[in-house]
This record gives sequence, structure tokens and C-alpha cells, in this order.
Amino acid sequence: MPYTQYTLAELRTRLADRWEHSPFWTEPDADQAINDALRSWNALTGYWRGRVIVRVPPGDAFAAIPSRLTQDVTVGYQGYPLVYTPLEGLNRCAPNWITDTTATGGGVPIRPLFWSRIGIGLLIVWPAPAAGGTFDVDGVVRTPALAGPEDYLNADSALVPVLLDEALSLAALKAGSAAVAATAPGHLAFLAEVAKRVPELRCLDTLPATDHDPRTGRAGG
Amino acid sequence: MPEDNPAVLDTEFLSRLQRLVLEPADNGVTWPSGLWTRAEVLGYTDQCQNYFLRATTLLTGYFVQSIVPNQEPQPVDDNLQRVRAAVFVSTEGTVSPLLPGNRREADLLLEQWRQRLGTPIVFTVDDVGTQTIGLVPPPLVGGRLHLFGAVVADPVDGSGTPLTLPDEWVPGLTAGVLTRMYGKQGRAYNAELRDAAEARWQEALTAAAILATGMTVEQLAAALGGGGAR
Repeated sequence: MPYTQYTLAELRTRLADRWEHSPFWTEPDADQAINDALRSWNALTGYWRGRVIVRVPPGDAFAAIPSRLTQDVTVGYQGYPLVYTPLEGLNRCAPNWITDTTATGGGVPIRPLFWSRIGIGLLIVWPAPAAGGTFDVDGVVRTPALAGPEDYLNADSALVPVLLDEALSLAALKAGSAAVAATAPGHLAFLAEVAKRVPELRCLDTLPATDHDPRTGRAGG
Repeated sequence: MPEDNPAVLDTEFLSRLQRLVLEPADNGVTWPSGLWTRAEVLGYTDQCQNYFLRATTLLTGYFVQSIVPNQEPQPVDDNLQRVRAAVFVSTEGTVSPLLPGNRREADLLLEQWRQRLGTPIVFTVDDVGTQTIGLVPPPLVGGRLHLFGAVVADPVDGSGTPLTLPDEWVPGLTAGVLTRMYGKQGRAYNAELRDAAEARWQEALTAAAILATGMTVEQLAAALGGGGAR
């Protein structure tokens, strides 16, 4: 699919088309909805990616991830990719991970092989490099924030209608429950697009419905 | 394309709420409809941020503290609101990753564990006092406890400081606060909008928990041996 540049001005116009240019929604409303849709998309799919270099002190298994990177995806050390393992796996298979270094010996590898994390912002490597070192962390960067009319984003042209429908659904919260219900299909389509890219999030559109769930149209008791 | 964007400020967040509930947007200073007060909205935002972090362990702190022998439970840092993982390293160099559990299981599996000092193998959080951690069995020797868990969010006071939650989860936080605003009994109550916001809030919590831990909120709570309070 072709990537195209879309300015905020263009996105505002296309969003306003969806609400028939009603004066009920203002330009700040449009900007808020568009930026929120981009943030949600990036949070769920990791669409915008980048690389940071993280330095680990000698013998230290931990490294803080700069805030520019919101989710780490892959970690490499001197050209070698590290294998991800959940912390529970590290606890089971390398219970001394917190003190092991590449100089420990006795079966402990001589270069970092595994990485783990809990949440975002804290990277754990095993074994820790005895002399310290740098790691290449590829991950999700912060979502571009569009503020001025000429600010732009590069996006897949097939994705933009999905994002705008999600923006409309977010803006509908201002207008009341009828508008929320009317725009629910756009939100569900957004979740479906997320699920295509991130199968683990397939459950999002099947969470238990609330009494007045706009997705089901139930009036509730 | 802007790349290094500043985090969302609390004033900006309050203005976005005001726009959505048809109040004039002034960084959350005034709420002329009288349906909510500034203090209430700040409180809802604080509550939602902390709940989000606790339920998903999205932002993890790392704390190291000394362990006093033969003391159980032990205090934990005030900036840590939910322990996700713990590792005990004794003064003798023994490393013991601790399993999450609870005291009822300990009572069933390890008879008289409170009197049988040794190397801890389990940590408990939901059945001990606030800002404490239980160790099963209590430590025989001293050492250091390495704790990983959800941090406490910076208080939201509407003074222009960045939110603790990353920008990407601000739409979810907005939904959580709206759930509470529309759930307030009285003139502000709106069941339909409350539920619409609640649906989005639950989506955000679920997604954040899965992306941060591979587990849903319920699975994560069960894995940590209890459940985070709502």
C-alpha cells in the first residue's frame, strides 16, 4: 500500500466531512480526536518505530529505556539479536540472573543471550556484560503529535479512513450516547484492523458488554 | 514531522476533558456547570492513573532495599504501589527469585512457616498491610530485596506538569476519567455515556496489560496472588 503524507489541515477537513461540517465540533475538538486516534493506533500496533542505543554499566543487568521509546520490541548486542523471555522464564531457567555476568563462568554464557522486561522503561539482559556495553533497542517511538496545520504524518493511505473513523468515534463522546452508538461501527473496524496486526489483541472487541454498550446497541436494565 | 514530542501536560488533559463534557476549556481551572469541581476531576485523574499503572504494571520501578532478618512482613518503598516480581539476595550471596503467592497457600503448604526461618521463596502482597511485603518463610539472614512493580503516579495538580502515563494511553485515561465523571450520582449522572466510556477504559486496560505482560488484567491479578483493588 502506498505511503502518503497527510497534513493536519487535510485530516481536519476529512474529519469534518464525516460530521458534515457541523459547528458543534471545533478545530480543537478535531485536533484532539485526530491525535488521540493516532496515539491509540500507535499504542496498540506499534506503528511508529525507531532505534535507541542503551548503555548498560559493567556487571549491571538493568538498563533504563529512554522515554522516547514507549515499547521495546527487539534488542541486539554487537550485531547479535537477543532472545526475549518473560521474567518468570528467566527466574526459572537462570535464577541467579540478577548477579550473573559474562565473567561468572560455570555454564553462564560469555555474551548476553536473553532479554526481558517488566512493563516498559526497564530492560533486563542476561547475562549482564561484565565490562558493560551498549544494546540496540528497536521499539515503538512516541506518536507524532500534529499541532500546526502543516504538520504531517506519513501513513498507509488505506489506513487513514480507519483512523478518521476512530477519531470520529472519539469525538462522538462530546455529542452524547446516540452519536457514540452511531459511530461504534467505526470503532469496531478500528479494533479489527488492530487485531489483524496484533493477534494478541483480538479479544478487545469481545470484552464483556456493559449495560448500555454502544457496540451492541443494548439499552440495558 | 515532529518526533520528540513533549508529554501531555495535566493542564492540557483537563482541557480535553472540558471540551468533551461541554465546559469551556481553560486548563481545568473552572467548571461553571457546577456538575463537577476541579478537585473532583483532579482526584478522578489521579485515581485512574494509579489504577491503570497498578492493574497493568505498564510502568515498572526497580527498588532495592535491605532486609531485616526474622521480620515479616517487611516495608516497601512508598513509590511502589504493586509488586510484580521480587528477588532475594542474602548477605551470603544466595539468590532466590520469589514466587508470587498468598498466606493461605503458605499455611496449607508449609506448616508453621511463620516460625520456620529460612531463605524466602514466596512473596505476598495482597494479604499484608499497605506498603509492606510478606516473605514466606521469614528470612533467617539479612540481605537485599530487589523489587519490580508498578510505580505510584506523580500527583495530578493541574499545574502544568506532564502526566506519568505515556501519551499513547491518554485516550484510555480520558475514558477512565469520563467513566467516573458520568457515574457521579446527581445531575452529572449519565448511564449511557458512562458505559460508553467504561467500554473504552476496559479496552485500554486490557490492551496495556497484554502488551506489557502478555496477560489480561484478570490473569495478571490472579498471577500476583490476589487481585488489585478497583
